[in-house]
Amino acid sequence: MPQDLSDEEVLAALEKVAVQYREVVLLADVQEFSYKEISATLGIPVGTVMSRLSRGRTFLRVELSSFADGYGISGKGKRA
Amino acid sequence: MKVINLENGYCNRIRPYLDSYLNNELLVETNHEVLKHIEACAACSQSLEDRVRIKSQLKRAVMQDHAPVALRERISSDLRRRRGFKFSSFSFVLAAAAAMLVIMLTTFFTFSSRTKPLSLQAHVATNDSEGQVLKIGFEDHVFCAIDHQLANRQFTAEQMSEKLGPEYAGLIDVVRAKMPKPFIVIVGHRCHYQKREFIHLIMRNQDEVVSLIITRKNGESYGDAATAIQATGVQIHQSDWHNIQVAGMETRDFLVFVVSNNAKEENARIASSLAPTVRDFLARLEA
Repeated sequence: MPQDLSDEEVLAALEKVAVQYREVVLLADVQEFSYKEISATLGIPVGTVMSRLSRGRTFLRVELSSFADGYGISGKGKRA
Repeated sequence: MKVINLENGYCNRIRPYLDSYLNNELLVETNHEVLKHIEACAACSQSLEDRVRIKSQLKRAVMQDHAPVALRERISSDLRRRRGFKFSSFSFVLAAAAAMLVIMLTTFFTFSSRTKPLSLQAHVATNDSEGQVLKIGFEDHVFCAIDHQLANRQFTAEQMSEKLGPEYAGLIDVVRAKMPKPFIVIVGHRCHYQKREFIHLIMRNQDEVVSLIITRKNGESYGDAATAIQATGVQIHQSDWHNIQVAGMETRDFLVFVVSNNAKEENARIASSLAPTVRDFLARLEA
């Protein structure tokens, strides 16, 4: 996983995550709201918050890995 | 809380629960199983570290950029209409949270623009060196406590310690000891405005909001401004904009501000009470 990405690259990766996942990731991981608060804010069930958060984090990790691979700084495998 | 049956060595069964583990959402037994596996498995341990780092990188990146005030207001208005929020005291916080979310979402389309107008501006003459320094504390208070609604949050003691880091976590007790009793410390964190880092504690007593803001000097100094008052050996400088009072002091390396919506005398009294102990606290970091 990348260690040398800039803020702009992290934001660019986040922008590639679909909005319904991105909004939950932002509320949970940046604003540190509870599942219940996110549920009330977005008007979706707590279970949906949890599943979207899990998927959103996974998508973000994938996007960040893609960025890192592009720069050849991923720790996972060597580029040809 | 989740109960999961885990078997040692099965990384693919552990991985989906690493986020829950990080957020302390697992039951004690499951938590122990995950911990045991992580200690024995370098790959899962690395995966856990990656998650911590990504969360940190994400927070830093998003908090660096903010949408302009006009856009923020328009989004808040749209959101209220779309979701039918009624602005009771309860739903206000949720609506504010939702507005904050949309602001952050729009950040990605606006982060190339570095202009960040505040909702309240401090107009200071360029030759008013004292006002120019006090403005630094005023602007971070407006940016963080008002525009970004941090004054409506309530962090736990653990969250505050984590956000402040070991260097500044001790400030929480310093402030608690010196603030008038009805005030409680609701926020302690590090924030960034205009490429400057601030240590920011917010204290609240019903509608009264007080910020203690500390930042490292970048060449600024009050000099010997005539308006300074003495508080137990500490010079305190004061100004106000939009009925927000700012009291400032300086140490060798730091600028310290007490900013509030209190009356001038009350803000000065709080600043005088905090000044000596905060100065002594910072002296340890300057040694």
